[in-house]
Amino acid sequence: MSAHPIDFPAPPPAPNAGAQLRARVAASSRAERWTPAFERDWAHALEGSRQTFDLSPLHDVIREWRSRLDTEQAVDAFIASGYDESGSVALEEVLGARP
Amino acid sequence: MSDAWPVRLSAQAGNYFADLPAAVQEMVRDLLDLASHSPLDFPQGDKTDPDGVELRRASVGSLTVVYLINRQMRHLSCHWRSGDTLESIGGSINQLSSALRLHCWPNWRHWSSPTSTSIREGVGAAGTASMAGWSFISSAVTPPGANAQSRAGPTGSYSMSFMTSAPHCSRVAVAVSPVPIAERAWTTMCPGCRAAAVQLSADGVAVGRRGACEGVAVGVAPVGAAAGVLAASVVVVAKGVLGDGAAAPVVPVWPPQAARARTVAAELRDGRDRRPDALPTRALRDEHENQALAEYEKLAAKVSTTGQVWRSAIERLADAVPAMLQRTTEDSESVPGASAVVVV
Repeated sequence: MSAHPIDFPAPPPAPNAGAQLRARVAASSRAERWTPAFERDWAHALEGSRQTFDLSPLHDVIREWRSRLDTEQAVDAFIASGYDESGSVALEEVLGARP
Repeated sequence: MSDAWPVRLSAQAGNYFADLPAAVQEMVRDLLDLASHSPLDFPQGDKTDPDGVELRRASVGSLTVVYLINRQMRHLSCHWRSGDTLESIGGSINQLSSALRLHCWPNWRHWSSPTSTSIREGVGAAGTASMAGWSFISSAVTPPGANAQSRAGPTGSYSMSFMTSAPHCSRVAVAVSPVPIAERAWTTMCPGCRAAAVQLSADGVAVGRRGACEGVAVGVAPVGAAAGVLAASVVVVAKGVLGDGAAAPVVPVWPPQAARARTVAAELRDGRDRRPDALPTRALRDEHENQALAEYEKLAAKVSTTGQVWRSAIERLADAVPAMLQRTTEDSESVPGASAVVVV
């Protein structure tokens, strides 16, 4: 159970998050395309961090690729279904109109 | 007619969405609002996929919405996945504010405010002075269970508001308030110029003063956890507020930057078309340009240009012509049959 207070920012990624992410990218189904893209993003962010003494570019890359890898399966399933939208509902029906 | 794309959720996403905490729902809705007004502003989900242009990924912190731009049906269909949303919502606020800065700004005209008057009221025609003051885009994202009116402290509430620019303001102002909504320390409106009196009182951080109206207060204030509320960066950009009884400063009212740049460029083009040979007069030059011009003239005086050589040659020739003509006439008179050709 995660009992992190809701109104505190998420902790920064672990120091080895980049390496873990690289392993995940390499293991993904699009590894041959994504690995060079990830390396490129990472190198770019690393250079930016070096110049600005700020780790947030690297954290951004980690966040972005993490979300990309996390959504990969759902997106794949969606594409495999031929962009099947049956059963979809309008946003307003779920949540109602804006107050 | 609104140019927003309707948003449709997949069944799975709809179920997931319905179970999210209210604050997260609100955040997702903000995000989808952004997406529906400018679907192409969010990055492609997979940039390495040439066929994936329609699949976009809108991400705020660890909250990610993947949507398909369905051009046939003209709507967005959404799927999303959220990481540990509850854990990361605090960090997400920073992300959301920067997302708003990035995505909302060029399209801010499209935004309508859920809580206060419509943003449209504040826009007016670009270049005119009809822009009203600050307007809220979205406000009061309050964690579930927190009573915004009465609670504060480490587990208390925070409020988050995004503002469009004030008339004096050339940037969108994004503020994350470290104080509970009830205190409203930083959203006091100035009755005179209607800019916000920005005042952040947590942890000794104060950006801008109430009752002061000078300068642009730009602050990036890290609000520490010691303040007990929200550790976040606070970015406030505000032109100050009227002083006590002081006359309103004359400030140019600019339309938003992008529109302004377009307007200025168009005016410049039109002006050049109307007066193609017009040059800025000396009165319009600033000090710096005058200095540059003086230096240029001083340097240029040392150089004999080709044009100067030619002009002086022609002047001398023009001076010499009468004498030459006279001489040739004398010569032709003295030497019958000779003719003179003078080419100037």
